[in-house]
Amino acid sequence: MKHARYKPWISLVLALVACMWSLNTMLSASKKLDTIIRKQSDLTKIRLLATGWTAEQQWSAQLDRIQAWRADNLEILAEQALGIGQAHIAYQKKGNLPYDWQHMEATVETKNALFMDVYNFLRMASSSLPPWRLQSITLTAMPDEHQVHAKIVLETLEKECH
Amino acid sequence: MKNGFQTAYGVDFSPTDMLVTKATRATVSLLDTTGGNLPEIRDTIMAEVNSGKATLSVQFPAAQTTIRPLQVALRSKEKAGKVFPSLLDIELPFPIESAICLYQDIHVREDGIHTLALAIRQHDMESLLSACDAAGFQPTHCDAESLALWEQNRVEYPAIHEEAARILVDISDSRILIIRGTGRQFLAAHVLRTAYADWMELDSAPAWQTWRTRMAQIIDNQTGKETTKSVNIWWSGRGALQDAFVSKLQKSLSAVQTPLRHSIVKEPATLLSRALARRALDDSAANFRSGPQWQHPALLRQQAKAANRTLQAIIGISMILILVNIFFAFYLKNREAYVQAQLTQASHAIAPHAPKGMEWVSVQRALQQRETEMRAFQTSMDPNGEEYRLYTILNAAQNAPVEITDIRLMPNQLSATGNAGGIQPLEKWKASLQLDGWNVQIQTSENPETKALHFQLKATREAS
Repeated sequence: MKHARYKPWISLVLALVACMWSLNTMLSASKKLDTIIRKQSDLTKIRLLATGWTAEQQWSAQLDRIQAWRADNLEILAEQALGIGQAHIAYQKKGNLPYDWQHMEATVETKNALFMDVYNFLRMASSSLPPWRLQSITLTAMPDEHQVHAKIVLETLEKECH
Repeated sequence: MKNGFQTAYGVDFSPTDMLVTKATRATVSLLDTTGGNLPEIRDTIMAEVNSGKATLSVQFPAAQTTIRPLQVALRSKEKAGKVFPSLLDIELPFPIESAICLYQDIHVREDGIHTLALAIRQHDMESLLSACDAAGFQPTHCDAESLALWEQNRVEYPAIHEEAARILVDISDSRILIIRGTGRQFLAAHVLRTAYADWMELDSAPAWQTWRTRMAQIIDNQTGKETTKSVNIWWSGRGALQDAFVSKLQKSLSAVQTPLRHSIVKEPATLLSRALARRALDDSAANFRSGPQWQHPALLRQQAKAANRTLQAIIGISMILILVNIFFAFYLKNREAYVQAQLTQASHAIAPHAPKGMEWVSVQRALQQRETEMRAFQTSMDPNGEEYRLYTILNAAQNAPVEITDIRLMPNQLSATGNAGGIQPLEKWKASLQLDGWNVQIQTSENPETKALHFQLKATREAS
C-alpha cells in the first residue's frame, strides 16, 4: 500500500479544505442570501409598479386604434358654442409624453358670454377624442345678468399624424 | 467496549492447568479445558485473535510486578506525566530503562496529582511471552494480576462504605497473593512464594509463621492498629476450594485482635480468568503488552484498520462537505444570476439605463418622472374631470340658492365671491362642497342697505 502513507496527509488536507470552505460559506452565505432577498424584494416592488401604468397604456392604445391623435379644433367648437369671434384662443405645447404623445394646453378667453354657452363649449370640448379637459377656469359675472367673463385653460393629448 | 472487540478470552495461565473464561457483551462463561479439549479451544481462540475478532488476556504475575501509588504536587496532568517516571525510578529494584511502566488511574486531588504506577522488567515479559508461545497462546493482553483480581472482586462485591478495609487472599498452587485496600482503592499487594503442597505438609513450618506475621502486619497497616475497625477478608483462587486449608488459614489469624469477616467469592477458582476476560473486553486492563515493541500483531492490525477507517471517514465527510459547499455556492450563484436577470429585465422596462445594483433607485427616479408625464393621460381618461366638478359646484350653489359673482376653479383649489339671502343658503352650499371633499372657509359681510350677505369662499381638497 504505497498510497497508505499519504492517506493521513490527504485526509488532513481535505478536512482543512472542507472546514475552511464551510466556514467561508457560513460567513459569506448570509450576506449573499441577504443580497438575493433584497433583489427579489426590489423585483417584486418594480413588477407591482410596472403594472400600475396599464390603464394609461390601454388609453393610449385605444386612441391609437381609432386614430384619435388630435383633439377637435377649439376655434370651430368656440364658433359653434360661443359665436364667431367671441373667443380668443392661445395654444401652448407643454412637453413630450410617453408613447409618443405630446401634452398640449389651450387658453380660451371670452367676454360677455352666456354662462350656458360657456358650459356647452366645455361639454363639446370634453366630448372630443382625445378630449379637451378643463384644467382651470375663472368666471366673473358681468353687470348684465347671465353674462360672464371666462378664462378657461384646457389640456389634451396630441400625436403627430403618421 | 472502547476497543471495539465483541469477545475477550481470559486465561489463568499456569504450567499445570489452565482456566479459560470467555466474555462477550452479554455473557461470561468458563470454557471446559479438561479431557484434552484445550488444544482445540486454544486453536479456536487463536484463530479468532489472529483474525482480529477477539482479544486474549493472560495475567502478569504479581510477584514480578511492582505497584506503587505516586503523588506529585502539580496541577497539570501533562507535567505530572513527565515527573512520574523519575519518582517511580527511585522505587524500582531494577533500572527503569529495562522496565515496562504503566500509570493507571491518573487523577487530581487537592494535594496534587495521583497515579498508580506499575512496572515489570522487560526480561520477565519476554519470559512470559515465551512460556505462552510454548503453550500455543499469543496473548493480546498481559494484565497486572493483583489489579485484575482486586478490581474483579470490587465489581462483583461492591463496597457499601468506600473507606471499609478489604483484603483479598488469592491462593494458587505456587503462591498466596494478599491484596489490600479500601472499598475505593487498591493499596498494595503482597506475595508469599510457597508451593501449596508445602503448606499442606509443613504443619509447623516457617511458612505458617510467615503467614501469620505478614497478615498481622497487613491488617495493622490496614486498620492503623485500631482494633475497633473490622476487616473484610475475601478468599479466592484454586486453593480457596480447599475448605480445610482455608479454614486452617483463617484460624491461624485468631490471635489478631481486629474483627475479621471471612467470605469466599463465588466460583473462586475462576476469579482471575473472569477478571482478565472482563478487563480485556471493556479495555480497562493494565496491559503491559502495549506499545509498538510489545503489542500483538493482531491488535496492531486492528488499530491500523481502525485508523484507516477513521481516515476514510474523515475523507468521506470532507468530500461530502466539499460537495455540499460546491452545490450551495453553485445554487447561490445561479439563484442570484436568475434574480438579477429578472430584475434587470423588469427595471429596464421602466428605467432603460438602470445600472446593476441601482435598479430600485433608478426605477423610483424614472417613476417620479413618469408620474408627472402620466398625469396628462390620467386627466385625459378621467370622465369626472374638472368640468364635472365645476358643474357640481355651480349646481349646488343654484340649489342653495347662492348668487356667484366670481368663481375660480383650479386643480384642488376653489375661490368664489357672491351674495346670499342669508346664512342658511351659504351653510347649505358649504355642506354640499364638504360632501364632495372640499375644505371650505367662508367669510361673510352684510350689506346694511340691502341686508344681503356678501361672502368670500376659499376651498381646497386633497390631491386624488
